[in-house]
Amino acid sequence: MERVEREELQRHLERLADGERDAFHPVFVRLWPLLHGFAARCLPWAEAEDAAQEALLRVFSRAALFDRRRDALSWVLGIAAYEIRSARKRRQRRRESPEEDKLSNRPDPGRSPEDAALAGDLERSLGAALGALKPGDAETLLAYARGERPDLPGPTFRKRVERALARLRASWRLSHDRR
Amino acid sequence: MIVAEETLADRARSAYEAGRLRWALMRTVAALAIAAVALLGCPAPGGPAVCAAALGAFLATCLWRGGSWARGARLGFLAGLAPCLLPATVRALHVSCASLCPHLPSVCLAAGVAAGLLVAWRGLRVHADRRFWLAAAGAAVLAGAVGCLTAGLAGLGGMALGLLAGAAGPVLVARAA
Repeated sequence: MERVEREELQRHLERLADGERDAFHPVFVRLWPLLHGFAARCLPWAEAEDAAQEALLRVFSRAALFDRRRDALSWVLGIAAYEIRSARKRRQRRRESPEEDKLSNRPDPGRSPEDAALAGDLERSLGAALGALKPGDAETLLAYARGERPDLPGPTFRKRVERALARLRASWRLSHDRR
Repeated sequence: MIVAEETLADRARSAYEAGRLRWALMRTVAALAIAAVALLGCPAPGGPAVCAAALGAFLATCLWRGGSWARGARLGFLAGLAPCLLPATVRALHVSCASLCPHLPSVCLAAGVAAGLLVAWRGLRVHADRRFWLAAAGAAVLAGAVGCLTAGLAGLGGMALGLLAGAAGPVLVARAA
């Protein structure tokens, strides 16, 4: 904050402490971006918003107590720092009691519509590419994908998988390059 | 939680007013606790208690409003402490009311003069506006009434007369200058 702005804040906060209501707006306009920025440096965005609001309300609630011998900016940031510390403690407490937060932290099991569309597209293309392979290659790849092991020696199965994969890649490249 | 700036400003304004009222009430309670000393040993505390309640309401309103009202009320209360507490002090120094009751109105008169002098001198020094004078006069009269009404209507009249006389001095000097 510039020196001039800082002096303005001091002057307006002194007036507000004295009960002059017309100093409310200038103080609000100066403090809200300041507190929001200050909280955003220390907390994640959503929590910063809450902490900045709490700090702002606390500053106005205690404005009548402001001592004009003190520096207004330091006083305001002191209150904001306290609110940020409280927000951090709340977050830490939430982490320490996982039962409370289990549901909110659980990831959404469903896909987003975009992901579902992409996955469907991929499955269809893969199905088409597998369909273009010889039945033996397709069976080998499906068995490999399911984690099954046909009644074959390991190196033989591995070789078959490699060959089928190479053919699948070739078929995939051919059909997708055409597009 | 994202709140629109207008809503936040409204909430901040409410918080400010609530904080200011809380601050005013705390100071009023402290002022009333001091003024309540005047009721100690008072044979008929009904009237002074009503004045104390009025003083509380007046002080709380002025302090909450702020600005000249608050400054005037602070000075008025401070000046009014003399007529508020002096009768109680005199009563405490004497054992029998019969010997001192006739002197109490003159004590109130003297204390009123001191209060009037203080209010007028200070008000003239800070070039006070009308709101300041109203608040100062109101607080001084009500605070003084808490103490001087224990001496009856004569005490109250003496205090009022003293206040006017005390305030007249500095005002006349300022006008002459």
